[in-house]
Amino acid sequence: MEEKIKKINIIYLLGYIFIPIIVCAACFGLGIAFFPKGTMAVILFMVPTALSFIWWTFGGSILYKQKYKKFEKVLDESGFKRNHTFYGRGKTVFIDTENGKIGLVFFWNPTKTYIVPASKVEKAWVDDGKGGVGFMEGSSRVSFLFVVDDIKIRVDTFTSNQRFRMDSDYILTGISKADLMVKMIEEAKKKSK
Amino acid sequence: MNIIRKMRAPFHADWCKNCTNPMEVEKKQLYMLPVLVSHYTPREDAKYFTDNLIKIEKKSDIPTGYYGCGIIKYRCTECNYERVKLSVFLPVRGIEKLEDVNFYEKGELDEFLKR
Repeated sequence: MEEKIKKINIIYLLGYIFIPIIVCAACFGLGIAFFPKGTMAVILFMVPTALSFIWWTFGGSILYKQKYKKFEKVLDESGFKRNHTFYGRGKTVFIDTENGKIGLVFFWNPTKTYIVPASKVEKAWVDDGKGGVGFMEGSSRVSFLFVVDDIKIRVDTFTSNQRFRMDSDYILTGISKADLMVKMIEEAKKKSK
Repeated sequence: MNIIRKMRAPFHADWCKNCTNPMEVEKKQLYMLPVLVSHYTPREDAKYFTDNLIKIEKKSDIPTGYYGCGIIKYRCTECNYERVKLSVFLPVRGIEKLEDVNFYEKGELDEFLKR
């Protein structure tokens, strides 16, 4: 039986957040109990705090980047033709339109990579995130979505903390990218056995 | 009056820069630029366009996620001054997102337009 797609590895997610907190708490406890003063106290308070912030800021991204770079090599070696690759926020989608396959890597599940036949995609569509009425009409997120094994995968092509008009350059570029990806998924689906 | 027209001329692509008269459209053609969305960087080199543009009949011939390019050749009926306007755009659901506009006045695209 084929493995089901998991977007989030709960153990990794909890470890990502809580392991640095636990390590910091242990070091702080150790500092308070045994080294209330001096160089050791500074090391026990500062180093774990700094390392935790470095991990939360860069650690996950580095791990994720390494994973999809490695996956790209694996795909090339296995004869997967990377016709289109979309590096989304927290998700990377590889599409082989010739052999009808889709490769997936998720930020919150870097231990796994997936290659699924495009025929398993139930549907794919674009969400332009349009909201508001009148002069307030606009969007702050454009994405393409597809459903595989009843799991909805959303990949953002544009995100912002501001709302942009629907005819703004950012939104139009995002829609164009999303339209292209949906077209590629549909194309791969036709070729998939 | 003439001075005002001279001042306004640079803002009108279809006005002659010498005599400030509206120029006539000698040729108008649509092309496809086989570059994927967000992979286009503005260029002025005419050779890049002559090497890469693909002639098409209508805007719907441009595949999703690719750029289109419109070329208009203007000619002044008074002084025979010629100017070619090249505009690169991204067609998105019926809207043209303008990316780049170049003007060529030394006949760089004349041979290409005859093809």
